[in-house]
Amino acid sequence: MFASKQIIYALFRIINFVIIAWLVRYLFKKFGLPEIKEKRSEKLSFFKNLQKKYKDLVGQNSLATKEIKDQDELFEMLNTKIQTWNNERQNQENIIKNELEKVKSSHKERIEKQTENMHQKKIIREVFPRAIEETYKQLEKKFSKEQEAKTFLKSIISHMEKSAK
Amino acid sequence: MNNKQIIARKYANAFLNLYINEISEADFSSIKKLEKFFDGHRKAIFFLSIPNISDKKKEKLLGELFEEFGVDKLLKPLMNLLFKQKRIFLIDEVLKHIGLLYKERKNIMMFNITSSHQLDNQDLEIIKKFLAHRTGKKIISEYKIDKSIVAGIRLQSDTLLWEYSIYKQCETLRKQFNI
Repeated sequence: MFASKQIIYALFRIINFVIIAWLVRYLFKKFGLPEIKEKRSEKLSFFKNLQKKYKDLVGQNSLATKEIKDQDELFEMLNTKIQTWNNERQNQENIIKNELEKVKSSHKERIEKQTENMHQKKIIREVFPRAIEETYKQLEKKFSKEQEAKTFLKSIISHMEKSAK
Repeated sequence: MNNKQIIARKYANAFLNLYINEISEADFSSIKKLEKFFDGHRKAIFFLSIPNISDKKKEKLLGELFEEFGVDKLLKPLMNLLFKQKRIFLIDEVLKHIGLLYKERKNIMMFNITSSHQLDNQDLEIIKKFLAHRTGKKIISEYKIDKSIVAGIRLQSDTLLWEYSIYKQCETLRKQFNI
């Protein structure tokens, strides 16, 4: 009797367990699983979004890197151009500077020459006529002496005689 | 050269063809003097071209003039020819060309020698020798003294001038400095 009771008891315990297990499964399926599924799908979509964002960001990053590289190349080109322009400008500046120096020096030279010429002209205008006149008078006086004049004439004639030989 | 000069040159040429050997240096000098006389007395040429005055009068006057210069015998045939051909008014031009052609044919060059003080004959001979050496021609000269050159000698022909004088030196200086 006791043994059958225990069997029945064990049987009912198994039945109860099964019922409770079924109930738990049912309740889990009814209330827990959808929520878990929903959360899982939410997480999945969240991860997908993240992955997509990551991909976008990676794409953006590579674009930005390419753009940076292009910008660097452009910058290099611009830098080279600016350097060339700068050199050219420097050259032009030097040429202009040299030309200016030349003009300045030639101008200075011209002014010096003009001053010298004016000075010479002044001397010629004022001093030379007097000097020539004075010389002429002195020579006239010198050669008014017969002997001096004859000596001078003799020297000319002697020169003629030599060149005629 | 105008027509008058061309005709006169032809007469001079013809005259020299015939009489060149009879012209002495003294004659040549007289012809040059006569030429100068006509240059300075243009009225004489005008007188020769007036038709109202008879040829006899003109001939007489020219004869006297030529006699005065000591070339009457030499130039008489030329004068007669010019009278005959009614071209006596060309006499000055003909004489000019006789002078030029004579110098050309005899290889003569005429120089005026001017000095500030008197030169003796020996000096003049040296000068002539110098000129002959330089020009390669026989030199005929006229000599005069000119005190304005101060001291020195000037040798001048129709085409050449050689001068070494104080006046020239001062003039050169003046010209050089544009005074």
